[in-house]
Amino acid sequence: MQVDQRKSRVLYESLINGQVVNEFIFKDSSLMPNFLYEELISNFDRYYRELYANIGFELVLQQSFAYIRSIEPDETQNDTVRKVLGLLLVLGRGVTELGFQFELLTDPDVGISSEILKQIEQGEDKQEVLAACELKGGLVSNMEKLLGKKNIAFQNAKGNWVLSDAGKAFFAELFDKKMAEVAD
Amino acid sequence: MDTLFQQIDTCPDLYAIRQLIFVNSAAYAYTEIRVDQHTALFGRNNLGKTSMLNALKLFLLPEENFKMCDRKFGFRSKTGDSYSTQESFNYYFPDQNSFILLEAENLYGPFCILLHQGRKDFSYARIVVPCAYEKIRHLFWDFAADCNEGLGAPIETLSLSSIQKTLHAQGGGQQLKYASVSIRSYASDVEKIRRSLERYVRQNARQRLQYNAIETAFYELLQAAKSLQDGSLKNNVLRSDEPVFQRGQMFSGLRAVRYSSRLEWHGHDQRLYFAEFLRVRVDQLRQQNKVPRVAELDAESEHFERHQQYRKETIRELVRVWVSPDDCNDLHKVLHHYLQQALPDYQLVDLLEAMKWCVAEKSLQLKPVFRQRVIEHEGFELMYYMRALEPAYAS
Repeated sequence: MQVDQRKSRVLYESLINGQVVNEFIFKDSSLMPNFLYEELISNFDRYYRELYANIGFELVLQQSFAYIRSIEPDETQNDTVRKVLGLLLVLGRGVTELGFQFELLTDPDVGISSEILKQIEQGEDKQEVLAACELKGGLVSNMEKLLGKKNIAFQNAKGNWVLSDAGKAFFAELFDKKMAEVAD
Repeated sequence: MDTLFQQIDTCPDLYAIRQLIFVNSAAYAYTEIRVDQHTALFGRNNLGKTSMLNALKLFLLPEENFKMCDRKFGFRSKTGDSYSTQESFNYYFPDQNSFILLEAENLYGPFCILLHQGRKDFSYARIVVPCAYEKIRHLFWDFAADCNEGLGAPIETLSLSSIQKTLHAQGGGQQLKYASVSIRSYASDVEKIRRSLERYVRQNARQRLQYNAIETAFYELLQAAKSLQDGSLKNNVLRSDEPVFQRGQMFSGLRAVRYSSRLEWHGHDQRLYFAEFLRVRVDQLRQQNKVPRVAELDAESEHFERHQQYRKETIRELVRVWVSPDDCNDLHKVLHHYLQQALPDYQLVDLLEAMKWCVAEKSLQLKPVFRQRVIEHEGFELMYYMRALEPAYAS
């Protein structure tokens, strides 16, 4: 398949600014295939992997999302991991602890409202974890600043937060590992 | 909660409800029902067999009254009609000498919870006594009496105050006091346990696995965060290479967001148009100002330094020879007019210099007037607060 220059440019803008490219995006009140991800997958081996390698980045392709990282790792490499992991776990723990099903976080028609987010961040244990992961300013603002801007979560038509493919992939891995532990 | 359930699994006898006792309650003068062993309840319809067991809810739920009892307890008749607040309350606590007791056991040993009428409408209160029911059994029923075919008789002097007094005397007073104070926290504990139980009942295997996986990961992170704290809350940020962050390696190296928005060029020539526009416009703006705003001075040269000193001295001399007016509302203005005539190449910055010398050289008394004025001179503006000159006779 021919490389689409316009899509390639948009892809670059997105990746270079630290965003993940998800398999599906939320558009017109529903999830639909992301044409950028399709473009990336179609020409991954033939073009994009080499393109980004030439300018010093590794194009990381996960189960249902992609992003780039520097080929030469530096100290700040894991700073984002700390924040994203802290935020996702506080979110997941808060939602399940309040008695909601986990699917509340992944269903694009439902999502988690800012009222629930505020309720979650009241917990002392949550605040402790947020502080330890250097997430200042509470849960609501960090949802937007971190997960929203990086495309790990999005806001649905109601304004509620829903996990995108990248966010879902994190929890899917967590559940798979737990299942393997239980099976052992 | 996991630990609680593990304990229940491994030592099922540690937490157990032993029996329920009704005294002047639920249509009985006195009844003991074992619930930790097989018990058969015989009786015709509508005698209160189900409602006796329903009383367990009064102990397990964190409620304090019968208001909206349909929603809280769901007491219903066989036909499905719910019982009203009044009906339910009168059934379980018909008078002040009605008691319902629960004997149970936990890690610390056997204990009893006594429910009795509360002070408010339709309310009931709890007393917790840290002993087996056997030890306080004699307070509620006279087993030695010969009447009722050897079943015993009610105690004539039975009352809440007499029971409280006896329990005090038996050393349960401390516990009673504690119980009344801690009802709130007890209720919240019960609420937590109830929620967890409810969740465990409702969740299917997949949901339980999800819940446990998130709980485990969260507690790992929480433990790592707790281990950081040395009493102070400062600098308690986890290092990025902590083992606990291994879980999030799928995001390893994800770049920080540099900026959120960018200038969109709709066509490839637009950037050039914009550059050309800027060049022309800046030229126009430059020409509009007759006097260049920035004086090109070589601030570091010796000549510049000397020039500045010379200028200061000139101004100082001019101020010294200047005859200040007797009465003046606006010293800036008067001095401005004087310097315009006296000083060649006069600029507004010289006025500020002159104002300083007025105070230092001539010792003029200046009185601030809180009105703002602006002096314009050769394209520059000086905004200042007016200074009035004190007349010589005033000082």
